[in-house]
Amino acid sequence: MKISDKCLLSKLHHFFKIYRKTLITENLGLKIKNPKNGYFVVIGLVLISVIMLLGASLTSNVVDKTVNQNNRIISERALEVAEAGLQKAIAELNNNPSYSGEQNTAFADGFISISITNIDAQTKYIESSGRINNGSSFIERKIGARAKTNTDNISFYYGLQVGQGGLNMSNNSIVYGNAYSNGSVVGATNSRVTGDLWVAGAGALYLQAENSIQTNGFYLGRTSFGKKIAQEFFATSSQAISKASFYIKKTGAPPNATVTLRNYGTGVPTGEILTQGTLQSNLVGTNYSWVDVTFNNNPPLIEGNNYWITIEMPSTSGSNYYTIGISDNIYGGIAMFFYRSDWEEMEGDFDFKIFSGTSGQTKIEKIIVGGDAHASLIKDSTITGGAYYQTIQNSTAGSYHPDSPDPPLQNFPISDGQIADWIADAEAGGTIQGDYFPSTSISLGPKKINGNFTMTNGTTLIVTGTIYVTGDINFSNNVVVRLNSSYGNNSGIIIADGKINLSNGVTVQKINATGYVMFISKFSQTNYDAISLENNVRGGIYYAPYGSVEVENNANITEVSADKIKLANNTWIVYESGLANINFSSGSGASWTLEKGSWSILQ
Amino acid sequence: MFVNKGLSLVELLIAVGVLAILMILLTTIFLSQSQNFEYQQTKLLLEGYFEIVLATIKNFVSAADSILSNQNIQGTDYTSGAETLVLRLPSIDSAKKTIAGQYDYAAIFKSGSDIKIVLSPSAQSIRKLENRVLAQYVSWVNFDYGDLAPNLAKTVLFSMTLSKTASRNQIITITRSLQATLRNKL
Repeated sequence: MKISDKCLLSKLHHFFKIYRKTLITENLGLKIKNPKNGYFVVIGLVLISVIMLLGASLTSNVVDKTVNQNNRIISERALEVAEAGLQKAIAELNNNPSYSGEQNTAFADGFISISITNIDAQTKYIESSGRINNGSSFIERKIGARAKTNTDNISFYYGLQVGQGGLNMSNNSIVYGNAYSNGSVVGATNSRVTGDLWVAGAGALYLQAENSIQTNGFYLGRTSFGKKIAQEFFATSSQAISKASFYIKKTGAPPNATVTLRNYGTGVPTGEILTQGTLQSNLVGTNYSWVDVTFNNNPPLIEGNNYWITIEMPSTSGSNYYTIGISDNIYGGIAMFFYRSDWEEMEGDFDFKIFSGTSGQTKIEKIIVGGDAHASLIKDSTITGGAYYQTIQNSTAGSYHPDSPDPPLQNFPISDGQIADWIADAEAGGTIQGDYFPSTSISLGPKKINGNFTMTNGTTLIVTGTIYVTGDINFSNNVVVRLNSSYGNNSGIIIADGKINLSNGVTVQKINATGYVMFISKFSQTNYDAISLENNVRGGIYYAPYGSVEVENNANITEVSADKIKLANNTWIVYESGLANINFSSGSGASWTLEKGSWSILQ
Repeated sequence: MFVNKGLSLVELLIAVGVLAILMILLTTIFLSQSQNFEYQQTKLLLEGYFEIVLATIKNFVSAADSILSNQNIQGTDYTSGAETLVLRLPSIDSAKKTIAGQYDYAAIFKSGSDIKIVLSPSAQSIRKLENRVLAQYVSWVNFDYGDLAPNLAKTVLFSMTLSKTASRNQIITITRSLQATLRNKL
């Protein structure tokens, strides 16, 4: 290196030294004793502060995002807990229909709260919330849905309910409870009804008017379709109206509807109301069938006059409504529907039937009645309570009520539509082809047997679902029939197209408080009994809407409804109070289920 | 005695060299972090889209009572298929309970590189009329109905791929799937 270079470098070094000192002292305004020390501390502090601020900001951001993400995950889990609550509510309802919910039940890593409100007899609204602690607070999600029961609620108010075939009671036969008959009740020595006995006065039914051709359907009570319809009809005989019948089906669970008989009036269905009855929703099936409606009283129709029969629902709904059959204008009356604020005439006629009868055709004879007796004619009877009659002969009573109106016809508590639905349930479980004769105890149902069904010799039938037999049912020699425990408090059904014969100690057991087995025979021929219960048969409910039931030789059963009933010597019908409110289940599956289209997130 | 001789040329060159190396390193780190930042930012954007789309589909499918084969919504016909899902949802009232017999109709579908939703509510529903983009950069969607026709399906498997170029032609591609059940189709 040259000397000149050394000089240059020395000068540069000196210059930078002076310049640095000047910079520090002048620009920063600091008085530094030793300019070589300290300023790095200041720069360092500034840098550290900036880095810490950045770090804190990033950390805060990350923590926020982590908390948000964590809360989102917990929220989803809370929703799943709420879902579990909904399923729990359904399970609880199936064990106990009066279950009303619970609060803060621990479940998984959260808590379930359930509240249930009743909408109607077959519908409830369930709110289920799931809560999970995220460390500092609870995150809650809530869902709601309607639950519906797939059971048919049926009320047997009478130990015996008899159609127009009437009731014959032999010596010492007893009905413990009330009895209602659309035909005469005739007894023998010591034939007794311990409760009230009614006998409708209509006698044989006369078909006043009908349109039974169905080519289409009309919505009744469906949103946008109105809730009232009316059909004009012409009386062809001067008799008292007995009942109306409609060819109808339902969707969902519509409410009961009011059926009204009106004078024709001014051409729209607003004339004077003559009588009313109720179209019971639980009698209407999901497929078309004829459903009867009886009236509160039975005013006379006048031959040649025209009348309105109307059906009115309390409300409309998009999911719970009826469809009534209609046809082209073959009958020739006026059919109308009420839309918005006016009655509108429509093409065709609704599917309807009007029946009438002649009063004074029925009687109570030779019966000891523990309660009240109601009949047009009471004869050779002993009534502890009041006697309500048009005519009384050779009878005694606690009190006498002459000129009492005849009791109206009483519908059976089960309709053809319901039976058709139950048969469909049984068929869904598969078919056994040919006669079925198991030699050992079995569990069966839902199942269709395409033939006869026979059991004998002390075997047991455990009903696990509805059983439908196309032939006859013959159970004998100490066979035991009972429901599977999964029915809970629901009752079950065995249906036969043919005859049902239970004999020689067959026992139909009840499970729980109201887990009955009901036998139904659709047999309608008059030369044989539809249901025959012989020799010490115990328990069970029996229904034969078109045929007769004969109860013989010390049988002791729970309830019988049939067109005609014969009670032989020493037979007992022992009505139980639980029969007034029975839920028939189609199978052993859950009876309460969530309703389609009702699920929603509430929170 | 200390003589203030200054820096030698060698010292200066070393200092400059060290500084140059440091600068190169810092520049490299900066560029690398910048790319990483863009990558992460793009990924975050796509993940955000996924969150929106998957949450929307889960909510709508859960609330639906049926998948419709086709439906006219806001004047356009939509047909359920691999790239379109048409739903019928029971309308909800102000208490967020379903209204019997009242329905809202929605379609979620791929349109170009977007996935969109259109919704037409009933008069009584509190759901709002919608016609909006849920996500961009959609390269593929698939609605899988199992072996069933869409209108018979009770569950839908939804899959979607989002693709976006980050920096220096680096393409980020993410695929996510979701299985959702129609809670109102029992």
